[in-house]
Amino acid sequence: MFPTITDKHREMFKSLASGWILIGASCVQLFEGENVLIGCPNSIVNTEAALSVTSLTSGLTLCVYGITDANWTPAVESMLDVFSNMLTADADLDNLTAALVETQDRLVALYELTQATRRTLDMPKLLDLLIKQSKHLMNVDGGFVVLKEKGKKTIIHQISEEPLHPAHAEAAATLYLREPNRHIFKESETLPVNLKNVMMVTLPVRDEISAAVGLFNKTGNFTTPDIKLAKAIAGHIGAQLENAMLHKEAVERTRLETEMDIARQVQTAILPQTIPQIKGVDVYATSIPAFEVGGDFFDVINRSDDSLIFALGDVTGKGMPAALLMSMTHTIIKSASRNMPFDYPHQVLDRLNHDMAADFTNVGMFTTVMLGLVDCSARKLHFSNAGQSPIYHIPAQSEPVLLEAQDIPVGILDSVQYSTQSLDLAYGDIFVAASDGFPESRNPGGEMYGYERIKNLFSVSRKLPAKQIAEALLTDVNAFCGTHPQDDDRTIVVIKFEKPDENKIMFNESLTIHAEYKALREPCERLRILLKRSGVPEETISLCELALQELLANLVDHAYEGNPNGQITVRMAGSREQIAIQTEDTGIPANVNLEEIHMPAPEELAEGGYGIAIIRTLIDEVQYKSLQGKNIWTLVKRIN
Amino acid sequence: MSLEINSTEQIIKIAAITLKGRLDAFEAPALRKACDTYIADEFNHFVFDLTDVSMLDSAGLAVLVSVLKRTRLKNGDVRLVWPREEAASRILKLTKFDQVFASIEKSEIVPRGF
Repeated sequence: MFPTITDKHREMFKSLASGWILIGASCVQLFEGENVLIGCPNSIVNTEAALSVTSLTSGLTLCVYGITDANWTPAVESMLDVFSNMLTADADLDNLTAALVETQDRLVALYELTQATRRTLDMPKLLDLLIKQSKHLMNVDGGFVVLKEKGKKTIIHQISEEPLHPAHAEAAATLYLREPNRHIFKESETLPVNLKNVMMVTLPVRDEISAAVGLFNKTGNFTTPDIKLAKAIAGHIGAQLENAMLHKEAVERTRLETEMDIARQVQTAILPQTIPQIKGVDVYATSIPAFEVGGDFFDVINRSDDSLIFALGDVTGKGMPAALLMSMTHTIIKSASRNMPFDYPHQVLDRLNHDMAADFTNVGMFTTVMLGLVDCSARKLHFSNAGQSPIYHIPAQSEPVLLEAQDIPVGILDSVQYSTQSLDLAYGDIFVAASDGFPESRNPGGEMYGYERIKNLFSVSRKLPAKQIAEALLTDVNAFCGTHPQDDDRTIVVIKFEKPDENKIMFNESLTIHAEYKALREPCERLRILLKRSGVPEETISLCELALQELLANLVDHAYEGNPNGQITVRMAGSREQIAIQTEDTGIPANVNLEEIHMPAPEELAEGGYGIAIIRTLIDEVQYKSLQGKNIWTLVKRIN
Repeated sequence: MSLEINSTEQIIKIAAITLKGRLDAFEAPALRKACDTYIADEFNHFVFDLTDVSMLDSAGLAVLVSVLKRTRLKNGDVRLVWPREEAASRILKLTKFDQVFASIEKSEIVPRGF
């Protein structure tokens, strides 16, 4: 009850006692019960007669030996009062100081906890820190955390010398969470056997999760400051746990998106940007990918002035592995078609299978491939089909024929001998290679598009140019499917053999300029010359020129921000149906949603923002793609 | 009876600029600079003779719009003599600025009678 007697107390007592000694007292002593607390000049037991006063409030007794006159009693009482008050005040100060020190300790500990948890996103570690710190600060034997999330397994985390059975911990948490304002549970209540006392606080994470922290078997009782501290720690850890969960979710999401993104980029980078044209063949090819990145690829390659190679394939599987295999397959086909001297397509497939079989087998995938060679001067089409379907031959004068695949897909067996089939071509004959995304498309009723519909569509469209045949099929499948989403890629290559037209416009040129205004004249003038030579009407020429001028000026301003070292490649190609202009730059990608570009209203008196809107008004098809550091604008103007 | 004479003097400075050839991103800055000088010299009325302009793009248009904005702020205006070539007038139609700029005939640039 009383503070330790210090030198300061003794000094004070001495000066108070000296007054008594001066008037004849032999000794002055202060007692607590039987014990002498302080004595002056000494604390030895004294038997002399004395004046003695006891304070009822403090329980202390003051004895002045050698003075017996009762008139001095008030003075003795007064001294006892003064001295008792001083001791009491000191005791209070000591307690306050102790409390302050303890609070400071707790604050420091809380701070250290926040520092320790700051970089931790690992849930078990955070829970460890929570329990360890709480145990240390509140002097308990053990601590546990119970995390409950609907539909998931309850998590129970404990640290203690004598751990509780998990069921007991869970029961305690359940009990507490029903009445979260009651924090302290003592023995003799509904507690399991080895729990003397338990303090529970809520661990606030997210709404979907109920969590509680339990600290048990404290020496002594839990106090209100304990509850406050536990809440503070739990609050902090709860926030960290939420962070950890959000972080984990964000990482997973990014990983998925990145994987999809890369796979998609790999795929689009490989697909041909422009379809080469040769005299005597009207070629069109396109691929409409489904939502998930698929494994379709296609290509049309110029072999010589009068021969063309075309390929179409479908890699099993989706996502990254399929995209990579597809790109490898495509690259090998492209390279073999250009560099390997071969007479018949099956030789390329033999080579492809030989090179790729191991890779495909490793991931348990394979690819269907159709490779064709159009020889205009010989009027023949040679093709080798490794499992690709549907492939159609539509003779000019008779019904479409579905050509069955002769060989198995690539990547299944190590050594396969592929075969080539040959067709004689007459003017107006059409050859179509398509992926199975077409016949297997379903409508909401579950019905498949099938092969009959395709056959009928080709029969009806045979007079149309290649591009329009392809578009007719795509439109028809879309209409058939209605609200049913597209499940698989739709890829198609259409080859129409026709009489070479002397008046056909044909040019395919490219030039590269620096990104400065004065350099824009050259491509515009070149375009004018090429179009004029091809007999395109003046109105079309001038609007194409304006469109190109606006596009290039836009790139100088925005892709390269006026840096004249930037380079822009301009490609111009013309057929009798359309003029295609493509620009390629390696500057800042355009951040545009073409659908949302509108012409500024003239009242606004805007000094900019017209470029792309003008291009969209003048040009039939405007596309923008950015992949692997290359930004590609494609403008297509149709000629009637 | 004496005659009371009240008169005010009004000086309107009109810049009449004739352009020939391409008014595009490359040439526009020069035109802009010339107009800036006129505007600084308190010319608030401009006539651009675009008769012989062979091509007009959005950069060239931007200069015309800029002059229009600034002159209108000072109660001035811009008049255009319409280009002969469709390659030049096309953009004025596409952007609907043919409804914003007032057009005049070549002969009206200099007031008749002087």
